[in-house]
Amino acid sequence: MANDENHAPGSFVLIWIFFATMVLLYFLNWKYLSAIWHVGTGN
Amino acid sequence: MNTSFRTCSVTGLKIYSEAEKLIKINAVTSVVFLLVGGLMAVLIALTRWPSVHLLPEDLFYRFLTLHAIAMLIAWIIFIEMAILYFASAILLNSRLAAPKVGWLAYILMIGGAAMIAVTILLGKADVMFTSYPPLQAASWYYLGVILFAVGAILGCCVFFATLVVAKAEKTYEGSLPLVTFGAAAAAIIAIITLAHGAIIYVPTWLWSLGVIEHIDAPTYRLIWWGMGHSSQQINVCAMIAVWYLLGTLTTGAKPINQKLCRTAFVLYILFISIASEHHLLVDPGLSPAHKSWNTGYFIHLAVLASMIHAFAVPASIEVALRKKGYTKGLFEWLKGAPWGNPAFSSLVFSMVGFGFLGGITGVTFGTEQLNIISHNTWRITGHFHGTVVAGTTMAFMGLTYYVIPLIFRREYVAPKLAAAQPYLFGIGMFLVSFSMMFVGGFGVPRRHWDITFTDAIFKVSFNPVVDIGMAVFGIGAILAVVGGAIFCLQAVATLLMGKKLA
Repeated sequence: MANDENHAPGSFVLIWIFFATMVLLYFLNWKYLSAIWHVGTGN
Repeated sequence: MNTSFRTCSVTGLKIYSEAEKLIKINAVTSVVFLLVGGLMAVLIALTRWPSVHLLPEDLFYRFLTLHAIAMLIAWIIFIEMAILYFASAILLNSRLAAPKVGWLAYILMIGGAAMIAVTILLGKADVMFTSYPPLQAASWYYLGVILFAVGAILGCCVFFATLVVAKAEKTYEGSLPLVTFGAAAAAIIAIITLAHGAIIYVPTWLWSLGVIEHIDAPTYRLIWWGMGHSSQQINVCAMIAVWYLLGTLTTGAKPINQKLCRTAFVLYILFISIASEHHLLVDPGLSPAHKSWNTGYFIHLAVLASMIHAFAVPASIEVALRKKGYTKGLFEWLKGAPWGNPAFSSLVFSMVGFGFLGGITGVTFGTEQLNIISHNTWRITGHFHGTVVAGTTMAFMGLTYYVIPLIFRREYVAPKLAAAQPYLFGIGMFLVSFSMMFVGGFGVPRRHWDITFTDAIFKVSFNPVVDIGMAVFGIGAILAVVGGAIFCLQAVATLLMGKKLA
């Protein structure tokens, strides 16, 4: 991925931004779900 | 057999006349339907925006049905036919196998599309894109869909036959180009898709004729979505093939790893039908375990393919631009990229729109547990406007900025307007997609004429911030429609009045 011919450090950073956005959106949605739909005995 | 060809003065590729004619007719037809779908879009958008609430109830659902058919079926599949003929005959320097079958395919598709559109406009098919039983349209609607699908299958067959002819006649060396490989993946998924369509639309047509008494609604949904989501993956494969092509045309990019990119296309073929289950997440007939396995685990094998392309396409562009001298820091290549080229700006909007707005949200909303806070809300509509409109449509728009000069051999009539068009449409669609998902998060439903529920027996109200979201949606929709109209009108004006190129 990082050999001299195919050196793309900028794209490498961009893909991590993309991945982090996906993780964040997953987290926010699970948090939203947990706030609406309680799981447990209710005590 | 007509084997006359010309040699493109720009690319050096052989362009056989029969292939050229079929590319042209399918491309022109697609833009006509884009215009129809866009007109419907502005009418329904101004109805969903409560401050305007333009259309009466019956026309809203009618035009919403026509908007979906014109965009998701007609515009996209006609242009994909053009792309298939281009990716086979043109890129492989080959004659088209069986052009007469290609013309039969076109006639069936245009006849089917016309039948569908007329039936909808006559008020005989207010059934929405999904046409779920027990909603029943007039039999002409289903027959139109069947004819369109048969035509599309024939077009795919001509594509595959052309690959065989090109190989046999040794019109190219080595492996298929990556763009053709991606188009082949799209065509394989198309056959799977259209087979699902035949299995469900033929009995539904017979039901509409009274030959069959009853269509089981959950079974319909299961098989329909085997067609419905897979059809979107045809669009994804074709779009990504176009990304690689536009990367090459605009910056000279070459794929950074052929094997990896081709493997990613194969992952799409293998896993996308399984992933279709995310449309059935609130259906009672499937167990939670079944839903979780498909939408929590297997879909990520298709997501892996998207992640591969999400890196490979920008990386190939970056490598190409670094070779041209943009080597300072991490992002000088982005600054030096040809942003004034509408094909390049369309490509970037497409990648960002598809990836961030459409892709990430699709994977999260399609997860079994998370779906319950998104299902039937406008979050879903925002997601697929990110993928299909900001993503696929913009990629195909970008491609026409090369197709019109190279295939139609006309110079664009207003190059500055062409340069601005992707920004107008792209920013508009980003606002539309984002605002839909934003207000959907507050519970605003999809597919509803009046989100204020004026005549309901109980009062319904949303968080006041929804009003701001709806206004942003309205503004974004107007911007996007203006951008789309500029695209269509520019294309037509160029074909009619553009300076002829050698």
